[in-house]
Amino acid sequence: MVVFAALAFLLPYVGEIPVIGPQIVTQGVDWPSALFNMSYYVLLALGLNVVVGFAGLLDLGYVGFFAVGAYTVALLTSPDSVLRTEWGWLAAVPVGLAVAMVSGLILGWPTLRLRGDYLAIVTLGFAEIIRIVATSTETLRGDRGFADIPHPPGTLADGKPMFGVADATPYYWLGLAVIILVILAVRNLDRSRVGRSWLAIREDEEAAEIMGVRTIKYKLWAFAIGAFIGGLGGVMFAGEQGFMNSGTFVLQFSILVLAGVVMGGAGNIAGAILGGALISYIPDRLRGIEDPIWHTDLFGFRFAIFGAVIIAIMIFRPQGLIPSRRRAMELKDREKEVAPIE
Amino acid sequence: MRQVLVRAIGGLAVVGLIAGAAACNSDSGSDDTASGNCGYKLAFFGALTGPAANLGVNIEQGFELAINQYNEKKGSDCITVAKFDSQGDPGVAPGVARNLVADKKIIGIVGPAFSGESEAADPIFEQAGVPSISPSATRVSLSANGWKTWHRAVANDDAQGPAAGNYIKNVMKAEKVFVADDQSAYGAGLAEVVKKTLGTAVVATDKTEADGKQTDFSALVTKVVSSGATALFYGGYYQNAGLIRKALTTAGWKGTLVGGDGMKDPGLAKAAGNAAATGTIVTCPCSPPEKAGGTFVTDYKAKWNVDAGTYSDVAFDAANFMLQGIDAGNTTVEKLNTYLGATEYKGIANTYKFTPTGELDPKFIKVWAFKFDAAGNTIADQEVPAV
Repeated sequence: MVVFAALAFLLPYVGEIPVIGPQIVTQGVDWPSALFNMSYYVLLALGLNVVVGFAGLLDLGYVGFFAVGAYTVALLTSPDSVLRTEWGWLAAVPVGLAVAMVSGLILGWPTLRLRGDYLAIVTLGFAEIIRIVATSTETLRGDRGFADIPHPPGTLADGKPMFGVADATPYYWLGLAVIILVILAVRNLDRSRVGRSWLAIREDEEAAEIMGVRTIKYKLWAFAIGAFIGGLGGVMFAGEQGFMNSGTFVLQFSILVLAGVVMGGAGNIAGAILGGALISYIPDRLRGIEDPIWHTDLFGFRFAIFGAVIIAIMIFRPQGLIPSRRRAMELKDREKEVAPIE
Repeated sequence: MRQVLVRAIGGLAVVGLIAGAAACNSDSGSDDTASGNCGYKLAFFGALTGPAANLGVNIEQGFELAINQYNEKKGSDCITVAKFDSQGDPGVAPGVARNLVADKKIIGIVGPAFSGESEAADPIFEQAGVPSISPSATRVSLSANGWKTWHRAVANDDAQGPAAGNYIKNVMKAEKVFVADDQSAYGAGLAEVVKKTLGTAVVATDKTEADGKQTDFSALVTKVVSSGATALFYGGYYQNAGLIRKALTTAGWKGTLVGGDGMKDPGLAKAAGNAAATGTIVTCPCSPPEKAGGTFVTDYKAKWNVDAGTYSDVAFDAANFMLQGIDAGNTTVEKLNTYLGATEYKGIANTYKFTPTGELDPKFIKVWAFKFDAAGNTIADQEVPAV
């Protein structure tokens, strides 16, 4: 674990390694920026993994929480905001996270009676509401967005700000530190009574309820924690970009994160991290590479290539790249159950 | 055993895909011939893919044409074109911009094309000191950031909006005007200024979704028809505008559709049908490309096999402005920036001189009105006062 974390912190310098390094780093996007993008995708995947992977609640509107976190920070800090508070980034973070968490509860409360497909539809609606409100209300400034969102505080020894605009490495390190904290917290939750309750709910909600698991409470927990982590991704995003508008929070983004979690291995933290990193890394890596036939940027084909990769993964590893051990066992069990009927 | 094999093959396939893509890196080594002020790069930054790519491609082609002509004149590949595709997305722009400034051979940028991505990317260019000229980002607030390396070669929305409003009021003599916008940074900003100019002539307002997100405009059409307006100003882009024009004609509305430079594209006539689009007025803080001096129009057509589009000529001028600076020996970002700030440059579309905030000098601001003809082309109508 510690070795992994140390290696992750050194990733911005991977380009220096001869032969292998240049194959890994992105060409069209600055490598530290690509790493930072990966870090907030990983955060989102970790959060969604709690909701989908642990508690088994299919959430298609997860990016809504990301948007709530980012917009709260923007509203509190940007000089464009109607509030005109112009707080520092750090001061706005706890508020952003709290608002994201509360919005998770607000969404969770009425939707708790729903299951499966129905829950997916309601969450889909939630994401659309967030998007439309962001686009259409005067307060949230739609496509015009918020400029001059302050960066995280801190100055270096030479007086320059620690989090500048020219280098994304510090943002990546900050993101990584947050990810490590989130991993520790989520892993502890998963191994606790809460985690076991989620597991029971995921496997069979009625049975869990009869056995004395308070399903409503633990489903709300899952939603709120997922929303909190999604909000974390949002506040990081706002702090790095300095500018945000409604264009970022499209539905496709939600689906991409969900694809990342399923691809990596739902219910497994390592799997979610890998999946989240890949959905951000693959398109960025394709940028700046010329395809041999049409001589255009391969980036233009990103979704086609991406789709092919996902299909390949789903055919050869339906349980995900790094599956949850329990899920893999379940899939095996089901295979056995199905076999005689064939 | 079989399963293990399948897994191994699957894993290999995925790794192979990624590694295969990685193997054909386009990043080839560049040669160092710094003689005769050569060996430098000029960059285009804007959308080349994505929903707003049309405008980006117009600009890129004008920009690339200028550099090709310069290289031909020099008889060598003196200045290299570097293209940076931001997709017009402020979320993508910073990463691409950091990648741009990492290349120390790039000493000038034409772009960013849109206002949103400008907000996200320009602070990075500013910190790196790389001078940029945007041929199309018209948001007013951009010049208020105190950026020293930022310039724009067109008038901002505060100039275009009043011109469109004046045209509706004085030339069309419309007394009832309906104002709608697509809620984009560009469309909403422009519509706001037009509303201010028109004052009480505005009978009603409405909003639509952005381009590509809405195809049924019957709600807007009903409102326009029942408002009794004789003119509709739409702040938005050509795709929506074309569909709106089509729906309005189908509903029997006889008034005129008026819009800004975002609607000045043959795509409007394509979406609406040439007959419906005829008579639609678009304003643009640009000169008609056919009035552009020299052989630009024919050169452009010969090179790209399409007609020069909106801002192609401005991008051509911006690139030539920088090339002239490089030719004069300004081969560092600082020198080139000083040169751009101090020089008056006469291009094919306009004469350029920048104010200390990077805006175009007000005396060179031109706004033209264009009319769609029966063949779906925009024909220059008249120059309109931008006050």
